[in-house]
Amino acid sequence: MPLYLCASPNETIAQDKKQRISQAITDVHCDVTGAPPEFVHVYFFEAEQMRNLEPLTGGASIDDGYLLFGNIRSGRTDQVKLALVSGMRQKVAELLAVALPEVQMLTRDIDAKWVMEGGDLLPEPGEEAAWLEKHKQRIAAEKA
Amino acid sequence: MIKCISFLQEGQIPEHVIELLDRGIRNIVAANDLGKDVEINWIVVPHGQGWTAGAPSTSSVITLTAPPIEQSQRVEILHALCDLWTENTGCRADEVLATVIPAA
Repeated sequence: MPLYLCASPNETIAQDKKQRISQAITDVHCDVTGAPPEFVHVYFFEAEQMRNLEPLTGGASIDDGYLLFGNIRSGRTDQVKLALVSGMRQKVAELLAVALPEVQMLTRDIDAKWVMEGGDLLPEPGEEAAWLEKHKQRIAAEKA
Repeated sequence: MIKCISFLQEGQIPEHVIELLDRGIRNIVAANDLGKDVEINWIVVPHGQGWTAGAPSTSSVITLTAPPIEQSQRVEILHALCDLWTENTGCRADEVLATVIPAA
C-alpha cells in the first residue's frame, strides 16, 4: 500500500515508459507523503481489464484516455490528496506526451486496519515512524 | 458473494501452487463463515507491468471482500492469507500485500 493502477487504451504505453512512469508515481507519492518507496506499488492494465478489478476500483473505468487509480491509506488530508493527484497527473502526462485532461485520476481511501503488508497491519496516520522501525527490525530478524 | 482478486507476477508462482492458493483462500473464507459463494479472480501481471519502488515487482496483492466482521477476525484472516502465501510460494512476508475490505 499504496497500490496505483494505470489503465490505458490497448498497447498505448510503450514498455520502456512504464518503468519511468512507475518511478514518477513513486517519487510523487514519497515526496508528498514522506512514505518510503518500498511500499509503493504501480501496476499497468489495459482499459478493458479494469472491469475485472471492481473490488479494487469500485467500478471505475475509462472510455478513452488514461486513468490512474490509487488505493491509498485513509487519513490523508484533502491537501495531500490534491498534491498526489495533480503531481501524478502532471508527470504521467509529460511522460506520455499527452495533454493533461487525457490523464484522469481517482483515489480511494483504504483503512490502515484493513491492510497487512510484510506481516504487519499498516500504521494509523501519525504512527508511521514507530511502525517502520519495528517493521524493519522484524524483517531483518527474519532474514537473519 | 465473496470476491477476491489476487495479483501474481508472471512466472513467479507455478500453476499447481496457484491451485493450492485457490483452495487455501476458499478454506479461509469457509473457516471464517464469510459466505458460501467465493469468486476468485487470478490476475497474472505480465513482465514489465508490475512495479514496486520503481523496480520490477515481486509482490503478490490479495484483496478480499467480506461482510461486516470484527477487527480481531479481520486480523486473523489477514494473517491466514499472508501465511498461506509465505508457506507455499517462496514469497517473503514483505512481498505479500493483503487487504480485507468491506463488501460494497
